[in-house]
Amino acid sequence: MRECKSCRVKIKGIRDTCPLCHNKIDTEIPPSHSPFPTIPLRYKKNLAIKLLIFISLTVIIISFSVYYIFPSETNWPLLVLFGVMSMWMVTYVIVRKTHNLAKAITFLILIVSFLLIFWDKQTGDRGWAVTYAIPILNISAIISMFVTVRIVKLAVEDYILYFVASCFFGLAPFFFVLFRELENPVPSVISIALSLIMLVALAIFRGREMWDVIKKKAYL
Amino acid sequence: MPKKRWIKMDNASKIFMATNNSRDTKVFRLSADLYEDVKPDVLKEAVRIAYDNFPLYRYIIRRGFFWYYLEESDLVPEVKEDDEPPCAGIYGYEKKILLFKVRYYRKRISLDVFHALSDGTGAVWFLETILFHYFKLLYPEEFKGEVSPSDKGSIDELLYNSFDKHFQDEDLTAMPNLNINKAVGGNEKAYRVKGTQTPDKRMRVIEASMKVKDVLEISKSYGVSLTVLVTALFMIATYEDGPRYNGLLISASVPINLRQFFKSNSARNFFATMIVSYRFSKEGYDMDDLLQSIKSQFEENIDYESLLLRQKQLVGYERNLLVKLIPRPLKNIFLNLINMSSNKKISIATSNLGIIKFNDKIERYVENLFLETSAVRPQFVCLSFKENLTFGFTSPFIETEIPKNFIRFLTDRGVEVVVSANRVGKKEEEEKDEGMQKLPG
Repeated sequence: MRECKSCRVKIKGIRDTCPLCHNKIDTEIPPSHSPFPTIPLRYKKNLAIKLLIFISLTVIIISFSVYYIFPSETNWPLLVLFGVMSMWMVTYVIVRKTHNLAKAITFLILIVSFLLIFWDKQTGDRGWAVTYAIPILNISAIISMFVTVRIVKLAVEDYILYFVASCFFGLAPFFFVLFRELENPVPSVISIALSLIMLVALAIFRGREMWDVIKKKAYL
Repeated sequence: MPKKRWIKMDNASKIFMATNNSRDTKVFRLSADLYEDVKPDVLKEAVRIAYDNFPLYRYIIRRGFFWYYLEESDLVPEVKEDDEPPCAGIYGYEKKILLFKVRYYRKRISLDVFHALSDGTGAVWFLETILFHYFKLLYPEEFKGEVSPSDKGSIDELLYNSFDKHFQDEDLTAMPNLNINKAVGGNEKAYRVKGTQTPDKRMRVIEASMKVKDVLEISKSYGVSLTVLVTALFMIATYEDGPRYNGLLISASVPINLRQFFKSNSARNFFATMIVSYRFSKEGYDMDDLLQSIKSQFEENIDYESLLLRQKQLVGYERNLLVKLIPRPLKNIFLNLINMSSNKKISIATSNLGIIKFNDKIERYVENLFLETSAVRPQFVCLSFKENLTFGFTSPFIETEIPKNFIRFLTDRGVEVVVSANRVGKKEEEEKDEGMQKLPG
């Protein structure tokens, strides 16, 4: 075992310097093994994300600059800005939530619904988002969740609350029917009916599990 | 499908959940050095048996709306050769993984544990159980008729939330007064150690081993306990490294094992913390005055009545309905703010796990035991095992001045010390490659 004459300690490990005072030690003495394996330095490689941030910001800066030099009627750089933001929100959900597909679907409907309403408003407020896009999105989300959890064999307790949540999202078109004059109420009605059927089915067939999960998740 | 059991998280764990991050992982590592190289296949089997007998270590962390909770899992622990820095992060948001890792390297078996699961005492029981089965598999004749260390209490006892068991008091559910800090500095900010952070957030670890009787002799000569001596020494080591000005306040955070006052066979967290402080002057310090001051602060804090009151207040705090109803992510933010403000009052942290006693037959095959923990400030954990006293110094900084000062104080007084350190940074890694060629075999 090597020794440090300055600190007067014995040193485990194959070293040329003392781990305490960092002075040179006598390397003629045979060393003994360190209890620590040498672990190479590790850095998280975030280059892809950095690049994406850089491109996003550059695109936004350039579009506002171009708009300033060549003004036009529609404020299109604002749309670019929100386009970029939409991309980031969807990327976030996909990266962060993919371990639980039911959860990812729930977050996606929520985010995409808001984005749709925004785009509709920005592009003439024709009402296509509430009439068609959102109800259809909800219908497909409920169906895809119903199928997905069976394909990936998700445990009941891992998806049930998200299932309930997306059924409640599916009931949202009720307010569209109530407060807006829809040009075509069929998608909304289908969305509401499907959500209600699913909620009834969940309560009847999965009531016990649902209650157990709620007790756990909401304990005070 | 059988229903999974779940348990509420204890008082201390909640803080670890809120404050753990990629640098301060809240993971501690307990390592046993054997006399011979570890046999991986035997270890894997031993871990499997121990795991079956130690229900707590099956639990994983789940998130509720208001609190985290622990839920039983059917995951299988993986045992492999050590390939991560000590105390590397275990818990990750969105990850369903066990809260401990068993690793081996040459003669060493290491158990890394996320602190929200268990404290040092709980981890010692689990490691002893693993070692018991490891040696029982290797030497079946010798261990015939021996009872596994995990079977001392009942299986359920290991799972008890001792905070709730001892400190639930209906009278104290009102908002408590959290400012019952008896330390010298009161609420004053303490000196905070600065340094160069390690490049990839790993802990700087230095382990030191010595004979416990040598250090006991020194503490006896000053008329104080070993814990008081080493705490005071670490404060001195910090003072010597720090800036010189009058009234420099150095405070050490010290955990108190509550099992000594409140009977508990639980492997879960059961400790309180106290802060002891001393005001240094520009010219230096008076050793006797320092030791007496630390000694009396220890006595004041480690007292049944004051611990009972303090803990009841803390448990009362989390039983307040208004506190309960705050959504979990917001609670985390508040707990982090509280933690940040209390960090200002702490310079260093020390901890003495005390005397660790294994079954005699296990001790015969184990040379030494070390414990080290993730840290946001220079910290050590010491313990005594067989005739040894071992220290695990950890720090987020590359610098080693404080442990150096500490160890030199002991070697100056004739204590024989063996040290080892992990490698952090490029320079130290290069040193290894040169050295490797010189080692025969």
